[in-house]
Amino acid sequence: MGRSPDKLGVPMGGLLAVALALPLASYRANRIAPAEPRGLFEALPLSWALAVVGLALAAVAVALAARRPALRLAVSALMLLALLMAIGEAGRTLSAGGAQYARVAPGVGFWLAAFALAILVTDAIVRLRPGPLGRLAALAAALAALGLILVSGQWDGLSVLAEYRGRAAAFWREGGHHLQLAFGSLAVAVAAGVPLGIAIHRARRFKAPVLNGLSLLQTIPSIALFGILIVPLGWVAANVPGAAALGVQGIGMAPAFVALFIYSLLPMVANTAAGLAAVPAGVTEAAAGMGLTRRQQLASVELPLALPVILTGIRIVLVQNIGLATIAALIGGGGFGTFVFQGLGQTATDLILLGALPTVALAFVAAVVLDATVDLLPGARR
Amino acid sequence: MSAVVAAALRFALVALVLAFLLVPDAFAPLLAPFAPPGGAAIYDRASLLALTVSHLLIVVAAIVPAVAISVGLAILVSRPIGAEFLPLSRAIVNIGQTFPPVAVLALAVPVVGFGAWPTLIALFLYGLLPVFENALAGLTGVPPAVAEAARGSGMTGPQRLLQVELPLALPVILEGVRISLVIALSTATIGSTVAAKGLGEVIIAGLNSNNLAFVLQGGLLTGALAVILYDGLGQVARLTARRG
Amino acid sequence: MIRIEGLTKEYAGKAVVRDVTMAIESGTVTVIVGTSGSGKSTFLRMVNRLVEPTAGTVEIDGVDTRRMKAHELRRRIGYAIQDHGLFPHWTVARNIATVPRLLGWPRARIAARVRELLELLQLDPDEIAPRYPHQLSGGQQQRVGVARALAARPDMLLMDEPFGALDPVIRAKAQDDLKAIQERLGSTILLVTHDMSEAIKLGDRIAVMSEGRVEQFAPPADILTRPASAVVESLVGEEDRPFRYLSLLPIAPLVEPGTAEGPPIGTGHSLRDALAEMIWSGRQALPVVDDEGAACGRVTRGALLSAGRPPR
Repeated sequence: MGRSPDKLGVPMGGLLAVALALPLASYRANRIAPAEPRGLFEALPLSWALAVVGLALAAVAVALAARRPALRLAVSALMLLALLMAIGEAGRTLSAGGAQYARVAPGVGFWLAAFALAILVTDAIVRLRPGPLGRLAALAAALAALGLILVSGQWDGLSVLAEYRGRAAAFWREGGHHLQLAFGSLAVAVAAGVPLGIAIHRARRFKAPVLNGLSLLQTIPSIALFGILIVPLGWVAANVPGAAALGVQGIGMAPAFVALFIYSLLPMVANTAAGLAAVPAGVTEAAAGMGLTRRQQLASVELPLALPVILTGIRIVLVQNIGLATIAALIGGGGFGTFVFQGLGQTATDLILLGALPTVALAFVAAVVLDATVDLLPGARR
Repeated sequence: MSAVVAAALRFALVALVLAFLLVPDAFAPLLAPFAPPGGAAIYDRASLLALTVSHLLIVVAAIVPAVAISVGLAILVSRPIGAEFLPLSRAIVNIGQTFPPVAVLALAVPVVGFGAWPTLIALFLYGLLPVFENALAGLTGVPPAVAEAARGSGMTGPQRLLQVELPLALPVILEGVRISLVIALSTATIGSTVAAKGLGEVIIAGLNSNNLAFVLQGGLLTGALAVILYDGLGQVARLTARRG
Repeated sequence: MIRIEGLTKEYAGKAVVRDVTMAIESGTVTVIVGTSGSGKSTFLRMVNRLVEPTAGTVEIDGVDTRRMKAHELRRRIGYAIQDHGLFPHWTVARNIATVPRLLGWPRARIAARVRELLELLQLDPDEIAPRYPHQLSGGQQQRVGVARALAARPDMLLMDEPFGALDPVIRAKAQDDLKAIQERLGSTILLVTHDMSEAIKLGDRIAVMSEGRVEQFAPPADILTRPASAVVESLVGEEDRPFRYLSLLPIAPLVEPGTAEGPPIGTGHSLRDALAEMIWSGRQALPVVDDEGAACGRVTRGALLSAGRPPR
């Protein structure tokens, strides 16, 4: 038929093929021993290795030649799942044979293959143009698959999970802190930012100064702001009666919480004001002309119409907060950053991953869910 | 009137930062109350000036290639030949921005080890996204009538790009560079946790030794640098926008 | 009866509307016509207090509007504007129900009223009511805007360039429909436009505004035949004047006994329609039929032309 191969299929299919030839896993005899690469056939039982190669060839072929997005999605998602199962199998195989301190981590081949497949899956989903419900369903399916793999114990041989087993209690506790920081500061920022956004929308004189001021605050590097806040909060804890009892401290969660709140203000205020400004002039004119009181105009016309933009602000804040909450660990504020910085301190890659992977996953889930919510709003099709 | 005030504030901030970098000891009395008993008030393990220069060098070394590559990619996907990749690249940018800079930095360490390299890589990767996104928005946002007029007057593809599309997109691209720079400056501060030379070192040393004077001077210095850079690039962007 | 006394609006010491006084009879259509910047919209918006006057009063049926709360006043006055201002997040039914809901009408009464209004405006209630504004055509949106303005049986209707966003064909139809509805309901309408033809077509009386002042307030025929100032004359347009005047005159008084060749014309048409038909078909006279289609005589070109010469 003489069709030219798919433009994305060539680089990604090629990358996938190259990745198979690179070490699938890295093996260390114990936590501090140097890493040794293990290729596909060294790391996996022959049946698994052959299955992976076979599926990968099919995936490359589909990436190069298939046009139908549904087929491309099915095959690359299946291959991604197989890869995730295979790395767990490699962990089990390599740490078998009595090496109880052996550490198995994904190798460069795994990461490259996972990257190529993730791009192919993303591309197929984008080509399918799913609606918000379709995207949520895809996310739910991916989370369910991940949950099943974790629960089934398929990954128990991997060193990240070895790190997890050593600190399961700490993991969930810090996870809780992380969510408290991210969502708590978001809640306060919404409570303060939306009214402030409404206020500067009404009093236009203050709009530019307030937004400029908030964006200057936003530019201050996170560690710097976290650090600077230790001083005033320490003073408050020491000098305001009752503040310390409420958990206000110079170090710990309080400065982290305040810093995240400060960073959250700009997106909330700016998006609220922008959402209100985007309400068509004819609509506000009509609302006033129909005899809606000022409060009714705001509650039943302006805010509902601004809601998608305000929600987009919440999405920006949430994703930003989930990332920035990692820094809180540096000032004793807890969160997944604890593991990241411990891992950096101990040169322990697995510990870094234990902190970084949940952070990335949380931010990703928050972004997908909030994007879909924005699209699900009744006014979104306008 | 307010322009005069802004200019005066700008000048004062730059002067203050320069003074602090050149003669830090002059500020010791101000910071001494925050230092622990017997502790130094001014960071003494390295010169603040050298740390600042190194901090800025890392940022520039990462951002320059990031800008070049992301503008190039944006040009590519906004041409007919790369149009197929447009939706995918939008999705990647969208997903990529959900990755926290700290995570990117931390994940680079296992691959390239400690030092300036993981910081450079994280800054480079994170610098790509805002510039790419803005360049794409600028290049695809050229008003249809203008694009049509450029075609109608007989410009070739490259002529349209160089004489019409890029100049019109320039302010938007610069805004992206501005965002990238601020993020890079912030992430470079975290780079000190992986042993990159920079101002984060001062803050982290202060946190580790309970020396609030270090935390404050490091924090205020990086904060001031970020504000100066952000504001300065904003001025540049305004100049180009006025011309356009 | 609406009585407007010395109505004035100044912004930063500059008068946009100056000392306007007029009386508007209930059940009539008053059209404010003027160029942009003439103050006509500001004048209209002072009637429902979207703009608070600097000086002067508006009385509706003897009650000074300043004695009511602004939002309560507005609920008694229908309001329709150029880009219709429909609430994009509400269905057509909910949009039309805006003021009745504010007034706390019972549910069933609102539903019945929405249905009645959609039918009045020749929109299929079952099809249109559940839709969102963006799913309607421009003409449908405009009609829903009028339905919403009429919803709570207001004392009067304010319309600011209500047909401004429509293309000429739909615009003419919308004007005819509005006229028919007004005649049926006997509403009091105050309508703002920049289009003199629209003013002549719709207005019982026309107020010509320029630089914040009312230059002339008179029936359309007087505006055409006896313009009070150069501004009014230029708005009327010298070359179109005779035809606009003919369009105001009905055929009925000119019907004389006799017969004529060719297809007939109804008594309801204007002399302008009759002249157009004579020119196009090359006839000296047209047979005239009444509303039932029964022949009642003819109209001749000579009679028509002398009737079209304005009284001096």
